Amino acid sequence: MTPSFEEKQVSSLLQSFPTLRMEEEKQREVIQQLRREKELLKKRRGRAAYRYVIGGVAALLGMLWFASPFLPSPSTLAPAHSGGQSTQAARADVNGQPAEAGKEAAVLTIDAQIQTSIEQTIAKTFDAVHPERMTVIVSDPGTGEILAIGSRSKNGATDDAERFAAAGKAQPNPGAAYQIVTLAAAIQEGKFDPREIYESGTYKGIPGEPIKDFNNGIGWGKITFLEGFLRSSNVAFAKLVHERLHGDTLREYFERFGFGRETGMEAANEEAGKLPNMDEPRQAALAATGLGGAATPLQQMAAVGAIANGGKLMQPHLYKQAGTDEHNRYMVRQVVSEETARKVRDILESVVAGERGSGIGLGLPNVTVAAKHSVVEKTDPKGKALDGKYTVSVIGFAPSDQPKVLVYVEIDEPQSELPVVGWKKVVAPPFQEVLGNSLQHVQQLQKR
Amino acid sequence: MEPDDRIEQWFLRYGNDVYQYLAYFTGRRDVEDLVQEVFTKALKALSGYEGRAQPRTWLLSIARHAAIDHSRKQKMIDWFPETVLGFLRSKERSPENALVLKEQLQEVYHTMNQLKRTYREVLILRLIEGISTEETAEILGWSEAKVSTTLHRAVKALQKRMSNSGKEVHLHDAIF
Repeated sequence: MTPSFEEKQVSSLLQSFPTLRMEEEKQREVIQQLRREKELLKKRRGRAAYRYVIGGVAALLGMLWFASPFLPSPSTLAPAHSGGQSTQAARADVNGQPAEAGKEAAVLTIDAQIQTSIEQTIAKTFDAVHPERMTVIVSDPGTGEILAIGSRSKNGATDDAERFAAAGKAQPNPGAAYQIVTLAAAIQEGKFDPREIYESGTYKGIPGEPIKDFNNGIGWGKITFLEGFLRSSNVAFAKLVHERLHGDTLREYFERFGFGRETGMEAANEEAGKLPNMDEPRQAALAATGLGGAATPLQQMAAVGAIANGGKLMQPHLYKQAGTDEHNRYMVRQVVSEETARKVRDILESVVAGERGSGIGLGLPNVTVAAKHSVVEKTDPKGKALDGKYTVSVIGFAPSDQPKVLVYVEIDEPQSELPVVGWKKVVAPPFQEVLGNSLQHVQQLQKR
Repeated sequence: MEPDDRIEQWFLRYGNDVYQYLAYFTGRRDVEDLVQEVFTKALKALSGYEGRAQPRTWLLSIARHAAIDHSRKQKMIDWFPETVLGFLRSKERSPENALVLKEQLQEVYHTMNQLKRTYREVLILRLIEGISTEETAEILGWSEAKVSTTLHRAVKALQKRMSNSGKEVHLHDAIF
């Protein structure tokens, strides 16, 4: 196997083949082309990465959408009887009061069936998301009658007085109710042109920190004010108030709608809440977005109820007396015109039913629903944000063109896997359940 | 260092090795496009490379596949009548871009190109390029033993062919 001399020579010959080099010019061309390819590749990878992110988010949302009907229904029938008990207790409690006050003929407005149903909903939701506290109120917006009222807190509050106290306890940053009143004020004052275009995202028209839309100030580009309201764009509210309505006018409307004063419902220890400070333009703008001041659930019910009721603000109440002019007795004042109220109702309906509405998922089949939800970061008594602690609430009525029931649902610090932005999904099932059951019951009563 | 920068570094270091290999494989000097193709492929496949082999070994094995693909295409073009693909042929195979060596070497090279492919491949890698047995084995996907025996047979076959055609090997003339 040892190579012959000739073979060695052939090998040496091959080894002596010249080294070939690329021309420098060509080398530079190759390098440049490589750099272009690299950029292209980076872009493509970037897009691919986005696709993964978008795909992931879409898949997640899809899953949540699928899961949402099941979220609050861990099939617990156990709390039903306890709910019934507290209902009876509640009735006993409030029934006792008027007797002492000497109103013999007064009848409680609470509807036993709706009350039982909301207690069940509360129990279910508690098992599902373990909140600190949950409050549900149902009323007839046409009269101001409270049809059901329930509240439960984590620390086992069995005292029924506490359940009523929650309805009259003022909480900071009411959110949706302020936004709805701002819209009504702007429409009433002729300052809201739904088709007018504005730049959403971040508003720097006011000194101080810019006001940003909830999607990190990205917004949705140039959109109409109508779309801005539907999407719950903070910039739309801020702009509307700062450039058109001004703080003084807004404050007037807030007062007219009953904020900052007790509603006068027969619940003990009702608080007056606090009108948001609107002396500075930035504070006024923030108030329009729902931040600042403090309002009780009852105040919010009354204010939004006025929109449902053709602009007539009604005093929420727990008793009715046969044979008296209930309407005149509980009507507080006309806060906006019927026309304005109708326009606001239409827009609130679009919030739920519209393609771009922030309230999609709050609706019911075969019924038009007008509603708005809010997710508000909790604050300590000094107004400092409590990191990561939120309250989610929704207020709405149905049918939106001829409202029969008005529902308020508030869930304080729910334990949810969802990102805070998605907490509408936490509050939607109880809201839908309460609204659906109450409406069905009220309509059945009216048919009789 | 950003991972994609490696390709540029490697081109500066091993670009000429790849170029030379492709030139001797195809018998042409204008193989810049193939070199480009090899490094672009490497760029795209870089995430899957992760230090399995020496960069040069890896690049040369990519080059080998590119060269084989290229020669297949070339054979297709050669097979078609000249009138049909005349324009292609003239562009692809303009004689001024052919690899030209000194007379003696040209004869050896020409004779080598008539050998079967495995012989050619091992001769180009081991002798012309001067790549180690180990590395050659990796590029060709052979065992080192196979590289050694094939090389031995290839040299023998080449020597035989050359003496058969009456061409004597004049090492001295070839080199100097």
